[in-house]
Amino acid sequence: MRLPIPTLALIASILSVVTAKSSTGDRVLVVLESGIEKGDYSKFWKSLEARGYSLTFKSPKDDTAELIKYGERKYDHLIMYAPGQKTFSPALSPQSILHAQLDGLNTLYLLSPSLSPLNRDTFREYDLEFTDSSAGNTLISPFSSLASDPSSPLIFPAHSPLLSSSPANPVLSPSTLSGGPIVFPEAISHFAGETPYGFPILGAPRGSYVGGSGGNSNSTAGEGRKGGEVVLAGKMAGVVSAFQTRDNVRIGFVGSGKALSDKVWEASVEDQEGVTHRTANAAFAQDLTSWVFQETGVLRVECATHWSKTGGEVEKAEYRKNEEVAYSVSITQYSPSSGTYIPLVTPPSDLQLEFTMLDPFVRTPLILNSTASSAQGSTTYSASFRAPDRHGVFKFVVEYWRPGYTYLRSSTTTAVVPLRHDEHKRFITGAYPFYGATVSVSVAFVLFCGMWLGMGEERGRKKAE
Amino acid sequence: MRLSAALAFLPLLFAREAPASLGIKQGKLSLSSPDGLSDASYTLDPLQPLPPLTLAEQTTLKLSFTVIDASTGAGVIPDQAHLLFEDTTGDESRDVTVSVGVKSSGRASFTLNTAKLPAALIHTRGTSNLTLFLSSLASPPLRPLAYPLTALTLSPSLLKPLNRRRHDLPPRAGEPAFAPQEELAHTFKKEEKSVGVIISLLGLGITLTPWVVLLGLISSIRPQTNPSALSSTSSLFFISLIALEILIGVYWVGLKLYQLLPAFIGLAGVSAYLGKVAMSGLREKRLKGQ
Repeated sequence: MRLPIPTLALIASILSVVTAKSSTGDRVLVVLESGIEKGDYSKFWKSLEARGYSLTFKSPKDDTAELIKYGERKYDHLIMYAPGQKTFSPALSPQSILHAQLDGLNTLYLLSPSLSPLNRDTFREYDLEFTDSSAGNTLISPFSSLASDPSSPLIFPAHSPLLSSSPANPVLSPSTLSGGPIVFPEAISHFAGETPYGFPILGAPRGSYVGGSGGNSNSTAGEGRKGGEVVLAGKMAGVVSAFQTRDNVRIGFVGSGKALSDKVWEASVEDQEGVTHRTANAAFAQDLTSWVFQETGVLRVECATHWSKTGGEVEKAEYRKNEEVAYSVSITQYSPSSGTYIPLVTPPSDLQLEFTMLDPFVRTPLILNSTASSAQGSTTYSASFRAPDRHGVFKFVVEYWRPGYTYLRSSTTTAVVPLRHDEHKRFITGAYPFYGATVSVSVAFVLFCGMWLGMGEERGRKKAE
Repeated sequence: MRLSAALAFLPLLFAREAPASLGIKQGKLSLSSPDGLSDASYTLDPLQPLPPLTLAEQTTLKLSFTVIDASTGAGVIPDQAHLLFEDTTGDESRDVTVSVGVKSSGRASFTLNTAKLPAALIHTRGTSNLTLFLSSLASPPLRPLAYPLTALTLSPSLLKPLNRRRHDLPPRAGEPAFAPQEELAHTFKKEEKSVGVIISLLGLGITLTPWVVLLGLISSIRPQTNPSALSSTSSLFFISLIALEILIGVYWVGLKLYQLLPAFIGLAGVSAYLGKVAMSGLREKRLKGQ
């Protein structure tokens, strides 16, 4: 039976989502503290398994939950849902997790207001500051929350503070950004520091603040308080943040683990204005885990070449001073549906090339080369410039640091040398007198030889006579 | 757009038979300065938005109001009484929120003295939309209030440079740059000055003047040559000398030494042989002539 093409395309797209694969592996360790029921999050686990991940569940004090054994990582990703855990087994201690992250373990932390001091201190390593629970640290959103429950903020992802400078949000997909709100029941918010390796994904709604879920004693107003700055308020109060290390290991922080529960997975909820919304928690979970588990936003430099533009485009090991040099770099991104690297879907326009010897001598923008891109199956950028008139060992350096995307670093070494003795201009206009003198000498010599050889018998005879 | 949407709800909060929601009464915003020139006082009225305000140096802004349950008029201590200074450019990282003190009667006051601005406000762009947020978690619940007050501008003399944000260009060279950096172009040395064509031709002319002198005097010297006396060996020797000169000229123009040497050695050998033969013949001729 032949299916129509649109049906075939639909089936292919469904299959591609179902079998989406991480670029770094599919072994996930899930650590759940006591008090968190695995069954309350069944839809979340099923969505991960449907995408090809194999989940292993352990408790925080399980000594068998080794992350690294015999020098090899046992898991590719970690979901740590133990916010209130005060002690961990040595295998799952913050130091072990940090060591594993340095080895490539992507991690998703699911949090709650009952954050233990140990976890609070650990997250300072990622430049995230959480308030002390004694002062009340539940995120309260009176202006955007579920009906009669201000401690369940509704966050509309279109207001994400992430990456206005990038062509696209690398974490949240366009459908999630334009979709319904995301519910964060019992969320803890944090203040994200200034480290450039971290970035916010979702901030609290406008008018939110951090306090107790009930009673005036934990309020931020209250009798006598006046004039002080409230740091964790509004969009500055982070709810979902991310961190990407220099080695491109990804760590995500979700202020409310209950945002991934079955209750709010794809539910219909009513806000405080009585408007009914379909929650986007499922789409948000898919987008965030896709990013943390290295499915989306993964870039790679395929190749970098350079050649001389003078004397027929030839790749050279060294260039002369003032020579016209061209460079091109090909970049691809990982496609989770096909498991291969494909040309960039939204090519950035701000790549730069540096020609460096200790310090950059030349920094020029790399221009998208559409013709070469389509021919090579990758996105190609190129640039050309004149080699400096300083000899030395230089590097073509392309570095692309943007939050949410794999950090790209490509370096190719070459040399710039002076002209060889026989590469200078052969004749110069100022030397005409010298050329004239040289030719004169040759002509004079020839004439003299001719005259000497032709000195006749007549003279000799005349002498004799 | 948010200002007008919020204003649309405000009349309800001040009505006598309003639903259970927070409201304010006796709201007053005043500006005062030592010289009294920019003193002003405004009553908060949702139907009459406040005009944009500018705070110069030595100016004090005072906001006072009473938080009430709009339905009963009774004073309320809210759980949230915040003033949001919202950056007008939409840069949320420059927003500043300050808390407003509320007494047990619900009376609240906020004072902003430009002589002692909070550090967070000093490092802003200086233009912000001021909004008052009031909310309560008490039971029965009261609808929260977001009251847009005015557009506030701080005098540039009060402000300091903006703090660097996480993805601004790094403060030191060599650190990762999360934004495009300034383009750099190498400054090349000036090309060496070369002698002009005219001066060079002038020099050439001076160099060749002896030839002019020679050609001028050639008729006087009249060398006694007898080309017909050239024997065949002498002619061959002469031709080989000319060939050597041409070879040297060609090498000078375009050959490398390794290309010259085989031809030069060969031709030099031939010239040497021909020269020996020619000289011998000439010697014999001269001896015979004697």
